[in-house]
Amino acid sequence: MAQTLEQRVLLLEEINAIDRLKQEYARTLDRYDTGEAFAALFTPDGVLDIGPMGRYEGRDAIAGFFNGVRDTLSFFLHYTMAHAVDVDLEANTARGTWYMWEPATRNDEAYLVAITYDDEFRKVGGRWLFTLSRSTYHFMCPYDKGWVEQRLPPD
Amino acid sequence: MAARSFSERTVEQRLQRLEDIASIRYLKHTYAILMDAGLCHENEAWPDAPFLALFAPDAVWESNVHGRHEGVAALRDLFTGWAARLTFAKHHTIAPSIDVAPSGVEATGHWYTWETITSGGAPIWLAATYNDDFVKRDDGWRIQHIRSNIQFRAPYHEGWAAEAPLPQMGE
Repeated sequence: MAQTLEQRVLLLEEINAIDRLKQEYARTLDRYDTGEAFAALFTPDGVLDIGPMGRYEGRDAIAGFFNGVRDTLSFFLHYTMAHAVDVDLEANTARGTWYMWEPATRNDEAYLVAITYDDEFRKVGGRWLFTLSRSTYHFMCPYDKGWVEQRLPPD
Repeated sequence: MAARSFSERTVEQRLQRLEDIASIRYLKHTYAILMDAGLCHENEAWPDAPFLALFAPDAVWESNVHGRHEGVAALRDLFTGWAARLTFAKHHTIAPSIDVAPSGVEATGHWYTWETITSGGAPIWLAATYNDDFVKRDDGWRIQHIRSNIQFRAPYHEGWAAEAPLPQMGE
């Protein structure tokens, strides 16, 4: 179906807005904002699925998870890059994938983490929000050991 | 991430906004590329043009580690001092979040950078974020203010657990 010029511009704007939201997700985590500020990036029924670190449904569960994360992870930086975003302009929904590279400090030890995200979004009241953020962990390993022998911690 | 109303602007104005975002991404990428060429001692004229021409004349460069430096002459001294210590640098600068002001001639941008450096002959990881201001002149966008929050500068063989995160400037 032929698109108008306005629809083509809108699609580019929406792709920008969704990557901008994903960067806000990273920055909110890396500033150690409150769990509530992080959860506000999700729809009320949004889901945070972080594989080995659990699945959290709804803003209260998501906020509770992030408020407790500092007990084991005292530092991290989420380098979130290389987005591929598909937008359904009629349904006001979108999907996106990203790569993420993360230096972290876990139980006072330097760690490296590699994740890909496969996320889903809905536009509510003119604003894009996460309905699902799904992380696939490729490795989470002590910096001095690397990812060959053990890609994820046993605990 | 406030909700924005697209309907108040013409399609051409909206396209202009997308072009401005692309131009600022290009400018920040050029900053990294030319910075690295200079710190790798690949360019004898550095940091003079084209590198310092990326900045407004009264531009500021500041970080939580290096303090505040204002005006192109001060930036020239700052960058020349880095080149005296470093023999290699790559600023892997990614993940832009760019907001153009309603005026269309001012903008802010946030990036992450992962730097691989050789300082005093030793390999160093440097992790930082940028929170920068830009201004649009008749001939294009210029850097007005770079705020670099360095999270750690870690010897390659030790890692960052002892240092990260360094005290941060407010955004």
